[in-house]
Amino acid sequence: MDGSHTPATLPLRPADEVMTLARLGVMQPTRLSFLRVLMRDLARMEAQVTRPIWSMDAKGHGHAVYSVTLAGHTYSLIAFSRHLADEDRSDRVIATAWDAAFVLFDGVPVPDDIARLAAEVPQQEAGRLGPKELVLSRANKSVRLFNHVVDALRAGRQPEPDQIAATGYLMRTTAVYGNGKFGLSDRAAYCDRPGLSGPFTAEMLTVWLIRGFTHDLAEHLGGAPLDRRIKRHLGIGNATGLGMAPFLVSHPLLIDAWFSVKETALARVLAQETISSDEAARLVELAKQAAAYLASWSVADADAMAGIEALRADWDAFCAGLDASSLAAPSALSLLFAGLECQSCALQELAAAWVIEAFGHLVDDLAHCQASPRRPELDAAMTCAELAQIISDHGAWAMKPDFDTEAQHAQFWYVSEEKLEPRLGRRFEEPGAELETPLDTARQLSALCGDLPDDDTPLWQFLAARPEHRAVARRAQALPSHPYAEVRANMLCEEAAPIHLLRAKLSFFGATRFDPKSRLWTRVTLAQGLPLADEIGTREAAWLPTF
Amino acid sequence: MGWARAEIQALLLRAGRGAGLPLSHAEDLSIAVAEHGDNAALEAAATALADGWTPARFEQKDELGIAFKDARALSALPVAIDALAARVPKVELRDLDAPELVAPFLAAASARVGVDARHSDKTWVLTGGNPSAQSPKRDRFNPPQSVIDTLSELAARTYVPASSASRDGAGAGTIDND
Repeated sequence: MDGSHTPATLPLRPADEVMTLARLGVMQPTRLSFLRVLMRDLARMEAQVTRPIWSMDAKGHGHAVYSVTLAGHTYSLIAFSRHLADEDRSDRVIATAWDAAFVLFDGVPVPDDIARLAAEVPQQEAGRLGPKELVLSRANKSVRLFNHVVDALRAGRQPEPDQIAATGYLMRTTAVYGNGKFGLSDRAAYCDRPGLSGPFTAEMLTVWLIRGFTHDLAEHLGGAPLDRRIKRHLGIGNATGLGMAPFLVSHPLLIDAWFSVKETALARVLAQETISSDEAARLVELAKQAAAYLASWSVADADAMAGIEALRADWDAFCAGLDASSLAAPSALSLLFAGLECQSCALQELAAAWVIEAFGHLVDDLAHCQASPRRPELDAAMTCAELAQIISDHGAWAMKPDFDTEAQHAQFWYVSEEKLEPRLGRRFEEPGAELETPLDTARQLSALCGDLPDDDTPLWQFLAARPEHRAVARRAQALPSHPYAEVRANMLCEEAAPIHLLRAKLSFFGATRFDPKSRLWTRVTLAQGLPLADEIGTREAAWLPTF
Repeated sequence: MGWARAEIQALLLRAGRGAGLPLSHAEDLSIAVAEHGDNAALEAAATALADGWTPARFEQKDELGIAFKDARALSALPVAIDALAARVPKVELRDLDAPELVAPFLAAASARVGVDARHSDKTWVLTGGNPSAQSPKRDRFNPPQSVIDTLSELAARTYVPASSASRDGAGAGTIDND
């Protein structure tokens, strides 16, 4: 960012307000979400996508290669499609076979590369990748819609719009791995390249390319092209479980960067004294889009559906008095937002995403501040009293739970022996709590506070004697400068639902149509409404896509 | 094709916890070796972890510094670096068990504290220097399989057999043909 042109800003919303599970669990994608940023970067860098290899048989089994040029580098998605029996089609991480498997390759693969990867990539976690491979993924067909689309094309017609709208994707990814997993390239090896420097950008590029592959596969089997408008609305599904949740706890400064950017964007937008009549009209149009999106968003889970219905009603009431002239009045946006203080977190988060959407010229430069390679570092020269003061000022949220009561630590996180995946257990009903994964930041902070002398003892000496507190001590020290670094909740308590963490992280990815299946896992749609490969630079991405 | 640094970091973190290291010490070890170490450092880390966790014990040598007797790298190096960052002038590490880990730990801490390191036989003397952040290494690890096996066995100590209840609730349905 050029400091001389930094827009005015209001104070950011306090972390005690932003970083609660209740708010994380209702977050919406914004124009700063990673998929949206990727689309702008692809356009700015004039990326070109080609399909140099399409080797599919009449059943749609074989392989394909898509290459994208980006700032002097070429990346290739290699897709392997195979037969999968219905009884083997599972979205679980413990599955061992999928309809399709993918790898994002650094460069253009030669036949030897493809032969090697054909043996490894379909195995997923059981395979072994190398430094030329950046991302590994797999997907299963959304069988009903996939078959409907193919059947319709074969019959010489387009698929039914209501079926397209109801599902919204032809395949569903069940994992997207990067950063060294199973031998993949380290992110550090490419994170300074233009176009791939943002968080999860290589993964998002992979997902977007997979979406194009699913369109091509359906057209190949159907023997006719899909209508362009239908293809735009066909994103890529994703099933996400507990594996994603610990990331938010284990990367505190990165999370702080994500939330700081979003909150700064909101503060910049609300700081405008007036907006133009065109901008006001744009906001009115976006409000209608949001209403249409909410109207089309239905899920099976009763509690989640009740939340969507409540949000529909709240949004309708919020929009009832909106018109372009009132929005163009002095301080209209900040006053509008102040009026939401007593409203639901869900309405506030939708409204935040809505106002941010309309002011790309104020906020888009922030997108490239979302990557942070930093970690909390111990300020060893501090005294114990100084750290106690920081905890008093910034850690009150961790002091509220009474960890002597069973309900406040009823759950424990662990890594399963079965598949090395994160899981959540019941501490007083299941074995293994003594091996729990340390995602208990609130409890650690509370314990540190209980043992920390409130005197001038050098902190390093205290921690040398009590090393069990050293990890959370440096996290606590980071809070004054990184207020959004911690999810301000006790993740062990009975009520703490991982689904809220998943929703927050997926919203940063740009996911829409959250469809929670339990408190532990959700389905979402990615890349719906984004430009197609041949529309890069000529078409805007949809904020909340409707059909 | 070797091992990616990020996967070695994840493995070391779990192995460190499995060996009984406090969380921050496991974190420091995993970052130091994965970002600034080589195959020798990784092998030394595996050997040190297999020896288990021994808390750091040091004595105030004089007003100029502290000394660790029979220094265990896994526990002493984080404390030594903290002490130097807190402007303790000199730290002695006597009979250090894994000297291959000194350079990675100092490199990992180089942005917050500069350290000059000298050694004579098995005693290392660390003194404050000018901070100068060192860039992480990029080449991949190619350790002997025995090193990976050792680390994997230690990491496995943190794994819990899944219960049917948690397995049922951890992800999607068994069959997903919708």
